[in-house]
Amino acid sequence: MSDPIEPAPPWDDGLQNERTTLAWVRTALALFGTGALVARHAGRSTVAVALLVASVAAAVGIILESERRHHWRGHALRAGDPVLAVHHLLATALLTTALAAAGLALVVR
Amino acid sequence: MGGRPWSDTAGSGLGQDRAVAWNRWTDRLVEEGTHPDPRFTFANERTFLAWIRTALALVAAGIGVDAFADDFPEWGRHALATLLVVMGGVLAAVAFRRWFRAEAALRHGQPLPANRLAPIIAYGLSLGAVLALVLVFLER
Repeated sequence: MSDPIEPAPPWDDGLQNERTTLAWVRTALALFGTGALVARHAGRSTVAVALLVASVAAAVGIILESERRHHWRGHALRAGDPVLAVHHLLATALLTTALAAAGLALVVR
Repeated sequence: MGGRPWSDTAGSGLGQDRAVAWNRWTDRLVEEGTHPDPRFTFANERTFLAWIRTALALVAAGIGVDAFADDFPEWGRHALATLLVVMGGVLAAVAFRRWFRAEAALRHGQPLPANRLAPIIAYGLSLGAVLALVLVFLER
């Protein structure tokens, strides 16, 4: 940061950090719900169990990571540091595309 | 986090070389321009997440059609379900690209890129609606 700013309190008066974390949690819940629906469409099979386990793991992982991110972003906001995150967004987009691919495979089989 | 709070690979299990290659790619974004107002970064991220949820809803809708629209002829059910699920997958991938380009524009103080997701949604859903209408008439 070439120009560190010291935000006047309250340092996050739009509750940006909290709203963003809640958006992540909503997305995790949507991923779990959609994953469970796709798994149900696979009938009683190993594929269904794998899809369900993967969906639960992805949702739990996203929620835990969002709490971690909430924490360091709180510090970053106070310090005037950047709050950019890249990899978690890419991973979430890839997970969603993978779930769509699994759903497509079940539809056209 | 060290001195790089924006790098969320810190402390991850990636090997050193892979972590370096991975960071070089994201550094293209991080090292160019200047950090925008954090509120814009947050807003861009929430917009991305809203598109991801839209993509997930499309996938769920497609699977729902395939599983429960028993009155439709089989080819129509599969066609409608395929359209919705493919739209969901494409939307998720394009959403990341849009987020990346928007963040880069914010860093350079340039106008936000044109929204390529809205046409996907608009034309795709129109096509799906027409298809569903045809199927409803065929069903009679």
